[in-house]
Amino acid sequence: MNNEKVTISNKQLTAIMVCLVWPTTINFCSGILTRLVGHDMALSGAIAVLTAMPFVYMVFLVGKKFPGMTVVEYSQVLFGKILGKLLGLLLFMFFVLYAALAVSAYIQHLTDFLLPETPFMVVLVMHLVVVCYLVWQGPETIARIGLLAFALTFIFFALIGVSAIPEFDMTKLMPFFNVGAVNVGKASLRADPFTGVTQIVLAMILPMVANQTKAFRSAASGLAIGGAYFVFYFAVTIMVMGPQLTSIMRIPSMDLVRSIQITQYLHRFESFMVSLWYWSILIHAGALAYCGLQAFKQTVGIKQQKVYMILIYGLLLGGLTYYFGYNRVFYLNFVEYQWPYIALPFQFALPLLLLIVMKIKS
Amino acid sequence: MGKRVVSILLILVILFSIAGCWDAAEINELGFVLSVAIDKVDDQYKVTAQIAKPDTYSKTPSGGQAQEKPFWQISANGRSVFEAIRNMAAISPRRIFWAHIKVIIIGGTLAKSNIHDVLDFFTRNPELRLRTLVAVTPGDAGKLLETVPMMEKDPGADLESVIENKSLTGKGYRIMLKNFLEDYLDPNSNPVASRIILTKNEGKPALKLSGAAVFHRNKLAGWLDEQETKGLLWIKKEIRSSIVVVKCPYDGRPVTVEVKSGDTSIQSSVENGVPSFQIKVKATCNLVEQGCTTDFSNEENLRKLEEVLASEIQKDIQSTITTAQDMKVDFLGFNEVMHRQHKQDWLQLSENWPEVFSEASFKIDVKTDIPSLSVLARPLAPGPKHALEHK
Repeated sequence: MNNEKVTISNKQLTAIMVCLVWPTTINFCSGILTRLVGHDMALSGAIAVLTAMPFVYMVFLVGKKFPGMTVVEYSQVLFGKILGKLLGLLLFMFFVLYAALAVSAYIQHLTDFLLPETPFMVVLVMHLVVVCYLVWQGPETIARIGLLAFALTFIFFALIGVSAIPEFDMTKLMPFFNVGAVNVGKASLRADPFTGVTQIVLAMILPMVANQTKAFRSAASGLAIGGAYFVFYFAVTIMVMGPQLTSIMRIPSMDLVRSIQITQYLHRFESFMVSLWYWSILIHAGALAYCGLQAFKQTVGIKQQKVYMILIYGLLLGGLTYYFGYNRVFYLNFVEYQWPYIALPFQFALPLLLLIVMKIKS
Repeated sequence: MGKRVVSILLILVILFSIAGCWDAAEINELGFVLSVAIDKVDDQYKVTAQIAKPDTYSKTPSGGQAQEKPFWQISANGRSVFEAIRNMAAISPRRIFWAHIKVIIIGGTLAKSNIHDVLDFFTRNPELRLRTLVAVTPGDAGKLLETVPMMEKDPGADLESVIENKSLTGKGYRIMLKNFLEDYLDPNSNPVASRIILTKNEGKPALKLSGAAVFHRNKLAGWLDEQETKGLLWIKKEIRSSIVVVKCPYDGRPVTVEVKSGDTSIQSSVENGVPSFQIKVKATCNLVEQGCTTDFSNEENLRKLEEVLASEIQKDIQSTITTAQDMKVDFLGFNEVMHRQHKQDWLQLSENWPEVFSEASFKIDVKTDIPSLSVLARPLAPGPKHALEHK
């Protein structure tokens, strides 16, 4: 698929951004933040959303100067060919690792909660095939499914809200800034890798957006909506389960669903909620995987897309997913402690650097 | 051509991988656990499960026939809860399915020793819901599960209803596993569970919700009687729909009021490192039964009754606070109030909260309102002489 011919509407961009922000954040980030700041974790999450916003704007500003070019392409202009290609390769590795983490999140949900007897490899292959198919079909398909996923998020969060209302205990959220505003702010750095995905993906897909002038507004809306979703989910998690219980959970989002019920009659709706969540995590993984392949192709100068490329790419993605996702202890430790050091430079330092270099050069 | 082959291959891969053979669970091969009881026997855990008998659910009992128990009881021992549960598989012809447990009952001996393993098992198992109710019985928990319910076929639902009905009597407590865990994990909070006892109803064994069990860390710290439990419910704002029986301010005969709404607010202050709490209760009740013939449509009489009611509620709350202070166990959540309202002081107070709490002072202010005498305008009195008594 050739990205020059492809366009996605601004609504589709918003939908993709929403799907990038919330699905993994509600899974792992809530536990990570609660271990740091207790019941203030929703505040840290909100700060992370606000932090990401100016960086989305930076990417938009730089992208506007290089119409029709992705970050991989214009970094070769800004930093020179060698440094630009090196950055392209680093971006490829970053995206493929990021996609592997997203695919792992889905597999862990299925194998740990819904299909505990099904081998990890089976779910991995199953999900990977769908992700690779999305990559093969390209951004138009991802964007169209993104709209469906976005529509389903309304049902997801409406159900969470309605079923959790009887369990709401506002006092569990107080006192605000219990561990101090500085610590809450510091903790938001751990949430930044979850929200920062928006700007780095935007840097890759911005050339495809139909209305370039409104691209920032669309992307920022996606970040804001996705952010509002997960901040709401965080607050509900604390109000229903409490900070102590949330902090010991690996995937508190699933434990929240174990703690609520829809009316008196529908007690177990985990599978239903996972089926609604699935579309967003699919777009999340699909978009990242697509960006990874594009980064590689643009770095080495491949114009055409062949089936064998997708197969090789799928094997690489599968290998990484197995390596990172199979051992849950390793995965959580990696996401909690090591991943911010890898993600933050790409998501926050790179847009800033690009903007500075662009300003100097112009 | 190449694309078609790839597509067919992909379809086949997906088709075979989503067949779901590994997690296939046929309903006729599962044994649904309704309630579980856990006891400590010597150094081992004894797990007793009540498993639903599906055929008894489909039969309509006919008159005169001896009714079959609607459940099958199974017990096994193990060094850990999980081992005991796995040991059940050696006896059970069906795969024991834990996802529908309604109540976890902990035996008295186990509660007094250490419940950590039990909590760990039930929290870690993704099959189980965190809404499962937690109860403690002073004796053998397994024995409780032998009780055949009078009304329900499902003994788990029966036990669940007994606990859920706590609001009607105001003499028992109800807690879900998630809330119990939250208090257990909080270093300054202490969880409280329902107390279930075995009693007799028309000569047959029946389960009764009576009082509550207070835990400190992983051990049972003590029991609350029914009056103390009522005080706990007032403080925790869970008293709605229960009743209070007070003495008529004029002749001492019983007058019953039903609590329609109860709101409790707690204000704290700290002076020289000693906390004090002001508890304000506002209760709106309906008069639902009157043993005396006092005319409470007379507002002066009604005010007197409200005063007596307020004093009764105050007594309940005070008795609970006194028990908590004597035990040096804050199971009432005053630590959370202090934390919310005095964040700076709390850092210091929390270091030795049990001691500080036992020295804290409390002021209880209860305001009651009885806006309705149900459908009556005047008391049910046989003659004009009685009807006008105390007017």
